[in-house]
Amino acid sequence: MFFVKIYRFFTQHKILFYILLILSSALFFFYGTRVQFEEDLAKLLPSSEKTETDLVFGNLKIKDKIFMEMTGAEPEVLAGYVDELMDSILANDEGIANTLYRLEPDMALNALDFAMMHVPSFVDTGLYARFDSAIAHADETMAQNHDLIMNDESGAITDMITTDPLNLRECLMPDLSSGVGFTLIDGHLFCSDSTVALMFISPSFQTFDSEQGGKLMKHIKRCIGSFKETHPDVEVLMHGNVVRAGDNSRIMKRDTFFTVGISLLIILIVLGICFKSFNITWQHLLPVIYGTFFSLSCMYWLQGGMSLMALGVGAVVLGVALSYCLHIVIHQRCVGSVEQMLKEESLPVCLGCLTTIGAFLGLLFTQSDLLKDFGLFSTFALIGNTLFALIFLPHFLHENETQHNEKIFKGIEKINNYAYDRNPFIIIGLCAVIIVGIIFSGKVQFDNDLQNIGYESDELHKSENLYSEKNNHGGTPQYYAVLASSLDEALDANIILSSRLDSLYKAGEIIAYTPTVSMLFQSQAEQERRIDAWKRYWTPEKVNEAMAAVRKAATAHELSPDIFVPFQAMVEAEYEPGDLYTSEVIPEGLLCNFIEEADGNYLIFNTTQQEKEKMMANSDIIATAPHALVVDPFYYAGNMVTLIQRDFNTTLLISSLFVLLVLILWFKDLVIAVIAFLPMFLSWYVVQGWMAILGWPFNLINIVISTFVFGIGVDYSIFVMQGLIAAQRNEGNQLLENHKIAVFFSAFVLIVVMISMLCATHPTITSIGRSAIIGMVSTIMITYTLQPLLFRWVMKWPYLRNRVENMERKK
Amino acid sequence: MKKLLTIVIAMLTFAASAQKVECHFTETKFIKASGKTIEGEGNLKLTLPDKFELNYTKPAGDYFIINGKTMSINLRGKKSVVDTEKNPAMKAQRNTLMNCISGNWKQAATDNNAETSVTEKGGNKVVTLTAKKAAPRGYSKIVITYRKSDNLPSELVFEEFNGTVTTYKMTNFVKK
Repeated sequence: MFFVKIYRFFTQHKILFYILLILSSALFFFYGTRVQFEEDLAKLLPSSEKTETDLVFGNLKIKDKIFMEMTGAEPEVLAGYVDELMDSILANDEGIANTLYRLEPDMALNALDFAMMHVPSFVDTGLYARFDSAIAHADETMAQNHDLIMNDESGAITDMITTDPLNLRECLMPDLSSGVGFTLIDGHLFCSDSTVALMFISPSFQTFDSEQGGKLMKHIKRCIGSFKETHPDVEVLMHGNVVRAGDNSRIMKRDTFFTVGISLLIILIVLGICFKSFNITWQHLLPVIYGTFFSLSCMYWLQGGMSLMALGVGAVVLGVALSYCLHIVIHQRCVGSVEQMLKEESLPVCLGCLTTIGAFLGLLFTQSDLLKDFGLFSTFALIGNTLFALIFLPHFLHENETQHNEKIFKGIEKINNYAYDRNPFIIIGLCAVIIVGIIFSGKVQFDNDLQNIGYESDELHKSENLYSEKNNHGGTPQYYAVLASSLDEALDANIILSSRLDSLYKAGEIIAYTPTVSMLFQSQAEQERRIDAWKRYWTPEKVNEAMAAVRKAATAHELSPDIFVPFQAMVEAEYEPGDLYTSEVIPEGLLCNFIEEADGNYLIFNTTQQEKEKMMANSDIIATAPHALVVDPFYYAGNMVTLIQRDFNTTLLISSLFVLLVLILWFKDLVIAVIAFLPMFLSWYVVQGWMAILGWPFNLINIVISTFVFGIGVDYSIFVMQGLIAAQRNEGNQLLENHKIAVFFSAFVLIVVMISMLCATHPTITSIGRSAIIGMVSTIMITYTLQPLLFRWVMKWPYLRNRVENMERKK
Repeated sequence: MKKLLTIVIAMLTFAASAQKVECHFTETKFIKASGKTIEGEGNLKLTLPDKFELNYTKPAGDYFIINGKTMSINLRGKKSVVDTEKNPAMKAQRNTLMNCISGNWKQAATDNNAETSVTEKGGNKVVTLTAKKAAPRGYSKIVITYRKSDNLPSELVFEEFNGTVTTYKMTNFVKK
């Protein structure tokens, strides 16, 4: 009677009603449009695990790097083209932190100079055994030196040889051979076979800043488009997290628009035809729109923003919201009285809303921000929608407006009134489906690879494959990092990480890794240790031994022994530790591949190429090293999936108990409550079992559909149970028939939405559609067949029959 | 004392009157290790206080330019631009060259940890900088011949520790 009283009050105070409606709508629209949307897949990670990973995945530039490849012409030509394209991109460098596509000639000079000033810092103490070997092989080396010197036209090679006649530099080089090499042509970066020119762009924002990412992608694509017009023979490809996020955002928005838009259009046209009035379209739409903005406003007030993916998935909930409107509007059309409709519908709708919210609120118990966002958005959307439908909508419904398409309604009634619960074939078939579902429910697969949730365009896939084929030795790149509050601490920790990588490489567990960082960067303490080791090695005796070997070999190969003064000076010189990181010797675009400073912390990166199958095991080994991190949100997410899954089972249990409790309180009878509870309970097992049989895995997104199945299942069963009880009390079948018509239309609406989702491009939306359709169909069939069958059976029990017949009529 | 005064006067005269000098130069690089000699020639431009150019006519197109703290090199088509502030070795080379060519050889001696000796030969003053200690890089000896009349360098000899000797001879000075 509460909503009837409100209806009567506002009927007498129309101005107040319109003021409240307009003001609240304006308020929710104003704040709802201010919500910031994020597309952070890492938000699926449990919050408690984010202390270090938050920094890594939130602020790192390395993971946000855009990889660009250009191919289709001679290397020298490509080098020129790269300059042309990059010049056009950099003409507007908004959103670009730095680029790397060519190395300036002075870099090599500066690097050599730095190396000469700090030679001992680059010599690992383990390399001195090789120095001994180099001294022992002075004669062979000198023979090569002789040829090089005699062919030297500028004197540059002679300078190098007179400083290092024993080819000690070669002792350092083998460590780099396990790494991934790029070729330099005209100073430009190419893959090792020189067929693909490479460009790297580091954005100045985070991957999941969709607005900035969208702008940058648009700019780069426009530049590539213009470039291709003048160079149609050349192919330009790109990939990377920013590109992927941009594609995801675009496809998610497009799919949401088309699936929801087109299905809504179909639904409204069908409803308009069924009820011979297109007023019904806005009668359904207004509450949904109001509920959506109410929810967005609440999200804004509570947390300022929400996940775009949660909104996309939340679009499904709008189907549930539409279902409540259908119950109200259709029931009003059936009874022809707004007050009677409110008397008969307000409590079932509130109960349905309450139980559905209970199901969605269960998501708040998960540790995933994205699932929490989805749970909150859905809850508020349903509250807003239900309040509008029960407070504002009745004033737009007309008394005695009962027109409908008789032909269609007769057809619907025929379908609804068919005695599914008396057809043994249907009963046996449904039971078989349920039993099979229950048996196989434990075998449902859970897709741990969160990358499968994202959309990947053909161009992006091609770009990734080309890059991998040319640079990754057929493996998949995987970054590892150490994180520490000081550079020295990080560099020391990196020594341990590097040694583990080296062991894995030597054991054949990883295909390749780049030890560049451990070769180039050492902590102050490590450099001092190395300088001490240098001094201990180059004793006067050792210097004499080396110089004697050099002079003897030089004489033997007709070279003047006097020209090697620089070598002796080099080994006898005094050295001090250097700081390559701040020396500006390495350009920023290259340096950020090695070391990055974020929020006062230092991260040092190590790149590896691995077989996908071995990646998890290798990462497990690396992750246990001090300060070590796997620079891949999906690694941690993969580990967390089991936790979330366990979380989710607890959530479902909590939701189920909540719904069952509400049903018991509502019907005041355990048996009736259990029968009403069955459709949602059994349909969950059917969904799991049949997804297992069909080989469709669950993922962290489509599993939330279980809450949706819960919500809608319990709604249908409440309405049908209300009708069954009314019929049992000899109040006629009209209420059951009216409810069944609403359930029919609700199911029609949702199935249309689900089918439209199957046509989506985004894998997440498609996966939701598949699981939801199974859930929907099984829910309806159980509601139409098993629920009345069980009700009929229990009504044979006189005690229960008496209870139901004397049950206070819910109003 | 008289000699020193003459030199100072000559330097002051040069500094005051010739802010810009151009001349022809020949370059001879003798690589002791291989016994090869590489020759070149071209035009030299000096604009005080910090601009110096060697524009080669042989090999044509090559250049070596110091402009402030930047050093630009074109060696057989391989071009590079070096910010000497970021490269101590290049900075040392730039400073040594500029100091030698502009008559500030004492600073060059200090920078190169070298001993100095000054002799007179005909109408020229010959300054020799000899490194006190061998080093992996730099010059073991630098010999600069200044014309006494205007203190302009007529010959520069840079000897490296590996025996490579590069000699520049300047003629046809034009003061602007």
